[in-house]
Amino acid sequence: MRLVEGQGRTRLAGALAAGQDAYKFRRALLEHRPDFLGVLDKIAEKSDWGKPLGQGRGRGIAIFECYDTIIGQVAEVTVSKKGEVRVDRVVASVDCGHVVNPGIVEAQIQSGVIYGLSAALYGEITIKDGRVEQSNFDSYQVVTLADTPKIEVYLALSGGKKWGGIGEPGTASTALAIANEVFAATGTRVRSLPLKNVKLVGPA
Amino acid sequence: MISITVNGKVHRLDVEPEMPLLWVIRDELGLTGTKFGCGISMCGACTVHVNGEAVRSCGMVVGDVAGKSVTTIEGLSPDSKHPVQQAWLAEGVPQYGYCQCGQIMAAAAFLKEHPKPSDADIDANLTNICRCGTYVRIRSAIHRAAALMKT
Repeated sequence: MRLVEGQGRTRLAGALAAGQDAYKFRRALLEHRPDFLGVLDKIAEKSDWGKPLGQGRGRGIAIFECYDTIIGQVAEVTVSKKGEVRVDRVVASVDCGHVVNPGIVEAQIQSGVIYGLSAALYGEITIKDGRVEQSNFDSYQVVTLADTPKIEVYLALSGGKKWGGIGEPGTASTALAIANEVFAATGTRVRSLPLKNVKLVGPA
Repeated sequence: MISITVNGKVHRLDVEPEMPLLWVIRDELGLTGTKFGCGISMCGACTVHVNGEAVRSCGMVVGDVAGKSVTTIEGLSPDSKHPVQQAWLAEGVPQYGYCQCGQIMAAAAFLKEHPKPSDADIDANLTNICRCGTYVRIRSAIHRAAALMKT
């Protein structure tokens, strides 16, 4: 698994600290990869990247590759005055090389985002006195319809010899986009998940 | 003996009144479309209708259903063409599918109360859990079913 987010992290932190645009910074890093750029440009275009959102709202962007599929996501979040995170919209784009049934690809990415959202917001197993404390849905919160954002999926296929996987990429990239959007909305860098344990300060 | 009506058929059952309704439906009557999920009335995989209302059958005892009318997924429509079932097919909602009978039963009861639902109505009223995360298509399918019911 090659993590663009991980590789570029130190430079990324520096660039963002210097006020550089998160999309343009990634674009410069990935200049030599037209397949990555296809995905990155697609999510920037479809998410209206750069268009300001209201107070307490932000966009986060993330792109990476796994199972031979490149996936990019832009997530729009609202952070309430109490510091509660709500993901309103996710724009995703994938390059899995080729597609047989686009409807299945769309469904897999939608559901991967939901699964990743559960993990990013709530997912946690804790051990007390040698035992797992969570035993059922009353002690292990998961995303329901009420938490489900609007999710848009766009293909940016590069073709070639590649037949990438489509099951896992949606899940794995969601937390990255959300954590980056939380930074955009609040200025707080998220270094551990789930977000329910991260103290955030919303807009005054 | 307890008498309950399931999918229009009267059954006289020699069971304890404390037996969960879900157990009766699956093990006594052999109707296995209704699923056991969490067992604590949180996930909704076991959703059936009792006198037309959606209930979670794992948390209800059969004694409380005596004399009432129960509908399971098998009895929702004689030809599996209930508008919610048609919409589910058209939108390609199910993935793994285990929760889907409960989702369909919850949606069918919800649409009787909310014939023209907004996304906010759907989000506030439907709390069934789907770990595959088919929620985006569930929303679309409910709107489609609402439109089918109007015509």
